[in-house]
Amino acid sequence: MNKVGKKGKEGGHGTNGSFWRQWLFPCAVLLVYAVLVMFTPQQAIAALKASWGVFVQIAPALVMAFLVMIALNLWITPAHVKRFLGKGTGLKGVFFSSAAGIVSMGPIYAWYPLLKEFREKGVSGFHLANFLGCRAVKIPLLPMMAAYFGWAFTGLVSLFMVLSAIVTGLIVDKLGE
Amino acid sequence: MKRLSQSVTKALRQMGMILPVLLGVILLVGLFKTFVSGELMSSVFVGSLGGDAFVGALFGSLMAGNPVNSYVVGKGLLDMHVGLSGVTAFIFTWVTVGVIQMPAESAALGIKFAVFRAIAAFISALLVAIIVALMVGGVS
Repeated sequence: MNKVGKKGKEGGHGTNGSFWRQWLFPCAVLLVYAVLVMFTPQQAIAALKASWGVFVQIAPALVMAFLVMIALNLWITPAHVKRFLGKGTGLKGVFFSSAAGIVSMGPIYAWYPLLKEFREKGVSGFHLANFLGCRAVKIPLLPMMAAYFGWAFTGLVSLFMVLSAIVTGLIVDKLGE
Repeated sequence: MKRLSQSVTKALRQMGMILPVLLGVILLVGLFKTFVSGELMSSVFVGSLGGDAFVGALFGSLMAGNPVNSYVVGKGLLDMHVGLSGVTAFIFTWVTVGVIQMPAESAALGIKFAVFRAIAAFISALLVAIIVALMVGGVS
């Protein structure tokens, strides 16, 4: 019984209120589209096409995230995650969350369900924020960035991105939990 | 087999909790891509180190998507004589802040987490942009 109540509070489908609350934001955006269709239908259609493009871009990553979630539910227990990314894991934890952020691919939207799952398994706010910050550094894209802005700029910005992800993680861990 | 079925059901429930907000974010990204142009952005940079960093960080925060797009827009801004601090802050916040995806981040990790992370990333971007602009000076 308690478990069901907790699910409802967390925003799951446990209660009607939380179910409808999840739809408020997409309904508000759809309302904007409805207004645009009345006044500038061509741009509304262009925006819908752009949204479809974004969806097509993230769909593979979403499927991948779904499969990873199934695997996590099957084999990874909160104790495992806490051991590597929980509070007090020290430099080893910083290394793991930074490396995971750097190698993670695909749009960030696809990662949120997985991060929520990690949080529920006991990953600290520091590591989640560090992971999100380190996603800014994408090794396969570095040559392209360098082609546009030069290697000095690329190296400096990448280094500062990793350092600022750690600082952001510390701030979030202190204030955002 | 029972464990697999339980894992799939749990994963479906976890996905179901985030998908409505995700749908809203995707639709919002479409609106931004359509209504916010590169020309509009380059017209509002002020020309000072800190001012350009602030404006760049502000615009980068409102954008989202593949980082490659931020390089393309950033290079375009440089070509339009926008300062390096503005371009750096723009590229930095494009991937680290993301106001547009904040509802999804709040739904997944909590509103306090999302807000403090965004503010910390925004301030970091300003500092990094100014330092990088001072260190690199110009881009070849």
